[in-house]
Amino acid sequence: MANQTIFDRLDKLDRRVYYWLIVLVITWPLISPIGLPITIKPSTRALYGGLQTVQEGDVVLIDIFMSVSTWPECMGGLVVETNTLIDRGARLVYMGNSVDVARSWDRLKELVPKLQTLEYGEDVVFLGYYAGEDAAAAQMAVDMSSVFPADHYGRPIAEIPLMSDANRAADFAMVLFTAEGEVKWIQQWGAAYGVPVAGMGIAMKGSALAPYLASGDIFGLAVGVRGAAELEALAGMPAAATKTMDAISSTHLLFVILIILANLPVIYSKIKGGN
Amino acid sequence: MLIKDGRIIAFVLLFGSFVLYYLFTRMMEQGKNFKIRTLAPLEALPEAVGRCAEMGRPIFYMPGIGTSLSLSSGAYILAGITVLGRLARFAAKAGVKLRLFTVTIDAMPLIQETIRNAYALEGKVEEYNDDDIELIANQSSLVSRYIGAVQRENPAGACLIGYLAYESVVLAEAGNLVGALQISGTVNLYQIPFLVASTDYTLIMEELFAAAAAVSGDAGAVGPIAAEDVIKLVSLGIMILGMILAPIGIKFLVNLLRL
Amino acid sequence: MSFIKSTAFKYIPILVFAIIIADYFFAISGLGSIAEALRQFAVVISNIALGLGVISLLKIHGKNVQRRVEGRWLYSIVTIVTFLTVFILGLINTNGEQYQWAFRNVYTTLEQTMYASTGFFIVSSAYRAFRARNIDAALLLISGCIVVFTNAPIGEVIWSGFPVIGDWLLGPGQLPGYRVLMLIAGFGTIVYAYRVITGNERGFFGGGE
Repeated sequence: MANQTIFDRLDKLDRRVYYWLIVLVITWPLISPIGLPITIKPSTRALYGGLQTVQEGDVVLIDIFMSVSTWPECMGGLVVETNTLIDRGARLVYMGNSVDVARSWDRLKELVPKLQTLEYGEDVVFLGYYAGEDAAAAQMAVDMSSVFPADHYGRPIAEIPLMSDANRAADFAMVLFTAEGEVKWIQQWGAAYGVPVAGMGIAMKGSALAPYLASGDIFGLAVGVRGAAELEALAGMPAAATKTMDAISSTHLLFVILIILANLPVIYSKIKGGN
Repeated sequence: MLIKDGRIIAFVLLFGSFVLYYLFTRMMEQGKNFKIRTLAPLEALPEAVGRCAEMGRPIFYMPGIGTSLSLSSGAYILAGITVLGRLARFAAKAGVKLRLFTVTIDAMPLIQETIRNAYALEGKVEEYNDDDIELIANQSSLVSRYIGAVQRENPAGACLIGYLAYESVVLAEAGNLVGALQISGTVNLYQIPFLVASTDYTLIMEELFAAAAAVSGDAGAVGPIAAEDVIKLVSLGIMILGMILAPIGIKFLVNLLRL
Repeated sequence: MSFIKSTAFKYIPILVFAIIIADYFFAISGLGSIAEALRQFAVVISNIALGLGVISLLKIHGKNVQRRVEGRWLYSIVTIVTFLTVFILGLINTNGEQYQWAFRNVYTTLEQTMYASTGFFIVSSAYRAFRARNIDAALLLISGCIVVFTNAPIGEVIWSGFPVIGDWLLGPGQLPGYRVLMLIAGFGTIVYAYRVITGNERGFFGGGE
């Protein structure tokens, strides 16, 4: 032990050390925000711009794929999307195939008071949970009522005025995905029926979604907390995502510092001629 | 028009692919020898089981999340289950306890049948235990259950093969903590960096399907994989042609592919 | 079972595949409704599967309790009691205050905690594995750090070039490779589908036999 160099110690650094460092660098900016400026990426601008093209009365499908675990990443963006679409006079159809979609819907209602002012069944509908992924999306494209005989609250879909105008893919002006689950909409609605698709991805999915954006399969994209913060900036309504951005900065910086530290033993051993 | 607009070329390409798969299968049946290159992760399965046998510890398997009924995850889950079949035989032969954790409810009968069958093929059906296969409610529950099981049961080997999402890095790191030899594989590209960093062997993308074919090794499985190489070459040719034609303003190829 | 395994498992996938594919490519009257029924089967099966999950959960944890499995049975009691409590509350009224309280204060918090733990594991994994042992690894490492700084506002504060290079890496830098891998994965999926529908992929019924 006594012969251990600083590089040996760095090489075998106890993981609890950096776990505590993470806790520290997340907590500190949340208590004492710095407010670093955020540049808006073209993909987020394209998403927001796409929302602005929605006409009054257009029906938009919003797939809440996110579970409650991904709220910090995607809820902020969903709030902006919902507010923007309500301002445009769109009619909104929400659903999701995360088992906790009802909880996300309730949270969304809390965060977007305007949703409560819309007439349920005429301007907004929450269809609830669906199972079946691609098969369900393909089926919804031809007959929505066969997947959702009733909405989340048990009201028969035939009695919901909005759904009489929105029973198949061609009736929708666009589809917005949240967190994940984009492929089924791109393939079953976008490619098959030409319905514009866009949405928000969790940060991990940023690189996976980029090819769809470049090929035009999706018209816009906001990624992770940063994407949500960019949407908040575009809409002029800074909220939770904007506040989180300082913590994103501090943790990312720590991440890079730790990687550099982890590499010092490698560089040292190379200089010394070891492996 | 019998074929729907915009789907003619897609149909021709799909049908053409199937014809090629058939021809290559026939060629192999008639004696032509096609080989799938050695896949290190597949070769490591007996090593992982052997390690578990030596140390008297179980081996863990997690076939990913998602649903087998989905386009985006179904094929990967099924391919993962094929690899599971081979692992289960090794485990049965060596008397190693195989523990499986899944959230893929609709694949449960397949998983149970596959493992039971593998034990039966090794003449040890009485050692098969349904309780070793755990169906867990959702992704996050799976993460906590798996980590807990790793800590308590100390597996010497673990396989994370199928459709993997955020849990891949968490589960792989949990395995690392107890020093398990880990084999992973997914087609979910954005998870591959985590798996490469955290596990010992990784089946990357299409290798997962090739591994599933290599498990059976017969003409019907390997022939189409060989035909796939021809399809890749044709695709490469189309792409190069497109790269030449597009900049000089010839849109013939683009229009053709849109038919 | 042997009839199901030898015959039904071989021909049912072929039949389902033929109908779904034909419906996708061809405009044949009457076919659409059959394909629609099959897709509905898939949705129904998915929903039934949820019920199967509940049965499995109760079976596994019930056995743990019954056999007093060391280190597990107490946790299994907690699981069963929690399940039954939420289940009964949900049956009474899913919009009721008690059910919503459980969802809001127990489920939501636990879910978010588990997901957040990913950050810790990513860092420990990166600390151990992201070593510049050769030139390839070094390039990967540098690219990764640039992308990290692209996503965080602090990157731009440190050097305005980070987002420029990072956006290039995330765009033209990675797209060709990513697309090729996606394409190949697509080819692999088609081959796999072919093997399944022709009955040549039965490895998932036990070691390839």
